Amino acid sequence: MKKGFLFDINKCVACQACVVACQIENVALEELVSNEYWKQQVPWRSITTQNEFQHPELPVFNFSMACNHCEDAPCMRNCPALAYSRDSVFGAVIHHADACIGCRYCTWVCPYNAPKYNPSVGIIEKCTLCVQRLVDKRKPACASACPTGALDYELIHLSPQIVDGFPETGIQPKIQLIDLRNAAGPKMEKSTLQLSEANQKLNLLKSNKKTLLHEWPLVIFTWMMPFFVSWFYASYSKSVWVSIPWFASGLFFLGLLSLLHLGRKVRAWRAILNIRNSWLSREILAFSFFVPVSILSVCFPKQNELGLLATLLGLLILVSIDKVYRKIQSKEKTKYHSADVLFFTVFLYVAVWVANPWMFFAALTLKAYLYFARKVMFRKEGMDIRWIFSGLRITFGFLVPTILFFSLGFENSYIFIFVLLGELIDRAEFYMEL
Amino acid sequence: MSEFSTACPRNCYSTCSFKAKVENGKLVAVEPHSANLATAEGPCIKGLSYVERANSKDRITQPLLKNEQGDFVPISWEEALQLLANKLKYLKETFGAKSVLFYESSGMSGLTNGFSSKFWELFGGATTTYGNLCWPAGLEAVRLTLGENKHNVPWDLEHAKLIILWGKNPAETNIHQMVFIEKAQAKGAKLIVIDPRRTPSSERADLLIQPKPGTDAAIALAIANSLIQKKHYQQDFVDKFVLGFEEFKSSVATWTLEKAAKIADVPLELLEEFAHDLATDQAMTLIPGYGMQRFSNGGQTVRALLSLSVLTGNIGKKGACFHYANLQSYVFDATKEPESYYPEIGANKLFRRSISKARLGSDMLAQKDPPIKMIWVERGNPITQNPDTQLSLEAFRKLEFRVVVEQFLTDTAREADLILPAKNMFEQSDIIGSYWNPYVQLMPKILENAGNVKTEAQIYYALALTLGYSENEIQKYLPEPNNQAIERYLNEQLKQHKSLNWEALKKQPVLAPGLELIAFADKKFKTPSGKIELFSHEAELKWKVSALPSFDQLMNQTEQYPFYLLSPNTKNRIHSQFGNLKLIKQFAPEATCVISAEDALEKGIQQGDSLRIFNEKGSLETKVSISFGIKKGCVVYYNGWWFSEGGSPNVLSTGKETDMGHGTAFHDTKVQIEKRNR
Repeated sequence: MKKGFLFDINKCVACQACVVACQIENVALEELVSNEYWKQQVPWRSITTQNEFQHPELPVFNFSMACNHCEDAPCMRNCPALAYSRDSVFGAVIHHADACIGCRYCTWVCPYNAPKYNPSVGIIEKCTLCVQRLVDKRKPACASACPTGALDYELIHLSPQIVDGFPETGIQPKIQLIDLRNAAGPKMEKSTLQLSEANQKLNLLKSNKKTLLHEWPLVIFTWMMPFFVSWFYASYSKSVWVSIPWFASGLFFLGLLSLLHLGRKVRAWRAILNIRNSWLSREILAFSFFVPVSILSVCFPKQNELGLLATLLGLLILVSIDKVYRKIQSKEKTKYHSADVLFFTVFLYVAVWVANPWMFFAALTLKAYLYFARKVMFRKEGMDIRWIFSGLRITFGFLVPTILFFSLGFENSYIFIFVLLGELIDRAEFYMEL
Repeated sequence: MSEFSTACPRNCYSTCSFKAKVENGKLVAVEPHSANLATAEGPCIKGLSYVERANSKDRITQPLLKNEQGDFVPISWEEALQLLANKLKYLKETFGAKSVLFYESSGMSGLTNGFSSKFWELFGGATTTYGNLCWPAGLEAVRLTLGENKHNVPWDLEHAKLIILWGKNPAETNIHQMVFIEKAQAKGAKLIVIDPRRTPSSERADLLIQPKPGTDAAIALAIANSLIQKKHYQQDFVDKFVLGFEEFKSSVATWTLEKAAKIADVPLELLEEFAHDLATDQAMTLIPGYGMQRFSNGGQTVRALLSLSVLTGNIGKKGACFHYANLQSYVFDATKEPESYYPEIGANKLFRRSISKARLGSDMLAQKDPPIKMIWVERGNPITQNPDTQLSLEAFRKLEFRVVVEQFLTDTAREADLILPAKNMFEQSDIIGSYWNPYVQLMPKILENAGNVKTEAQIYYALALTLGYSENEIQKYLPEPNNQAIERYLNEQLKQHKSLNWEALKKQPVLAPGLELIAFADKKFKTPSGKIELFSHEAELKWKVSALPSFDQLMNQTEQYPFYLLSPNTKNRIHSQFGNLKLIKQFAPEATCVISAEDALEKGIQQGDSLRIFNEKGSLETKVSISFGIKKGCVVYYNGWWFSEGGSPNVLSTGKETDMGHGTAFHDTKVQIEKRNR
């Protein structure tokens, strides 16, 4: 048994006292009463309500959630800049503001939404477990203030918490949940309206949907990366012509673009510190080497070793990109995504570069299959199929390239333009699903 | 850092004890105080937010005078007092003292509030109000039936085997009660909730019945009849302690469950299950809220509900009571609520109590001989909190002079000519009771007055001096203007009770002297007959209602305005207080209304749309939130919004009293809704 949060779902009524107590404890009084603070404030703890529209078929219940200071904390494991450490006395996962580069990767990999990005300072903030109180033998402010006793800080069992609505991903969060005694909710009058029907007709879900599509520098980066790797590979193995200025400036542009995404750009160098554990560090390191090595290789095409090394680095970038996104465990259900850069996209591009119809149609068919399978799943789950995106993606990415192939063959750069357009839409949809 | 025991003086059930931490003369933390068994886990977000409230930059800390452009400019106390003294002298000489309306409300409780009336007595009188905005219909209903308002201590609830929350939502309005409900449920108690809304308090209930607003009495009478017909009532108890059973029995004989199901628009099988659950001899606590008695049939409704506790013998037992209001800690009051709200006319000739709080605007306008020329508002925000905002504004704006004592620039303060800064709860010692927990509590002075703030006692003292009264004369009415004098006064009050003393209260809350842990355990009832009066001659005589509990159909059925406007309180505010604080505002930055999914579908309204809510009194514009948990035909627009946030529901309400107790029938309000095209 270890000390951790003990949360009784029966008792929580979403009163928000834990949220307010946390703010009073952890925000300086002058800030708390200032207007500036409230323009950009990011509460470390928050309450989420299940079945917030109160459909009679389902119970309504709440989780109060901040950082669960997991034994196998994904924020700490995946942070490329080593900005997290574990407190040796209380086991708290501590974020270090001075080491954070503001890449927000921890906000993606944490299933509990514990790290919070504060745009006003360009870095992450999060729950500290109130170690300053623990030292004084006082409970964390949230647990101490809970007026119903729903949230406590006690000796708990770390066994998996199998509770509806709670993400249990095997990372040993230090929280023990007490599940509902009556999981059916109160007996009451039935509604004539099904929830899924209402979701559509009353626009219930649209308002609170969040996606990663706003991370457009990353969309562009991960969309273009397989293009450059495939271009390099085609030139290296099949002597496809490369415009050195275009190739080099394209890569530099991508590098700059990815910097745009960082909250603290001057600390970008820290991004490669966690090679041991973080695929993000590996991606950035591989990219940093790929740029000079591949450019040298296209300048000196006779140097076979350079070409081999650049190819391997290119592959490492693509493996890393896919791994980076696979760590986002929260929402995506499909194991292989049609927008994955390594397995499908890069082969498709290579096929076009080297004008290999078999490889081209194999990659295209595989992508189409994955794309349709995903949309079928969306339909089953009552999720938005995104008809317009789907239509454009199928037309540009699948139909037009096929028609162009049969009418003009590969002897035309239009086919690449449409393939790329289709892939851009697919990549954008991938971010919308995160 | 120093730590003090204190308590929250708001108009709230919980009246939490808490520990206030002060550092460098500033309140820096609010922490739980386990010595109060009713609120041991600690205060709600409002209590916690005192850290912001006490340090807020928006606080008014000096007198403000409205200039000709309508802006408030700071003035010195000397100027303010001279202006006031001149005004008061002139009005008294020209129209008489009763041309001044002294309006006080429930913004902060405490024994020192009594000084205000003392000043007006010294001044030679004033006009004041009678009645109350909140709970007197229910208080009077209980008083008529049981003789007084008291119930078992809050922690007794865990012994109940059946708990009925009838129109109460403690999860938001009395969060500490949820602790005891949960304890009872963990031991197997059943929880039934009756409310047009599926509230947070109903989420763990076994049964939720959602009646049409205002029809609660129909359900209660039908259940009562069902208990009687099936002989499921406690005959021994009724025989020994109840007056009027036979009359009651025959008056409810026509009330079938089918009839009630139809009137209340609820599924019959849910009512049958309710009746079945009540037919038990296990301990049942019925907890009515203060919402369903704010109808014009409110008093009779509470009498009907109370009949269920009486028939099942659930009065004066462990785990069993009618949990309406527990006034046992009001040990310093000679007359308790509701009777203190309407003392006999002529009790004190200096005061004219001729304005009903429920009809503030129209009654102010109607006063003659003398007409009202000036208002002095204290601890209240009548512009948004009393019914019929437009009429209140009209009455306010007709006056010659308006004085508002306030901490923040509320909608009422904005109407003032002169705003006087009000103290906060940490700046003057005071003593409070609670209508729920059974403690007497001390709020010591722990902070120096902010800026140029004077406490009300200090304002009145200085004003009396400016008016030319001598110190000797003034001290017959008011204590000297310092906290030592206040504490001497409070100490004198404590001497009435052996178990109360300053040192004990300074450490922690003290149980009220003479407290009955189980109320009415002695089965002594202070009614005219000494019995529980299901049949009350007094009710008939005093309030012209039936001597027996009855269901009186509301007279608000119109096709033009088909929706019931429910204006409940939320966890975020005590009426219009706290909502201005940023710690609170983050959870509800702007006013929204809630309508049912069925109504939304019928009217083509979608989540987040803008709605206009309107009736013959006025209209509000607000964002809509859709819920399956709201009874069809109801619009919920929470109480307490300021105009800067979207406006008060009282823009839509009518000044109307309840059937008894001079309460306010806010919830008779009907409205129409329409989607705004943007």
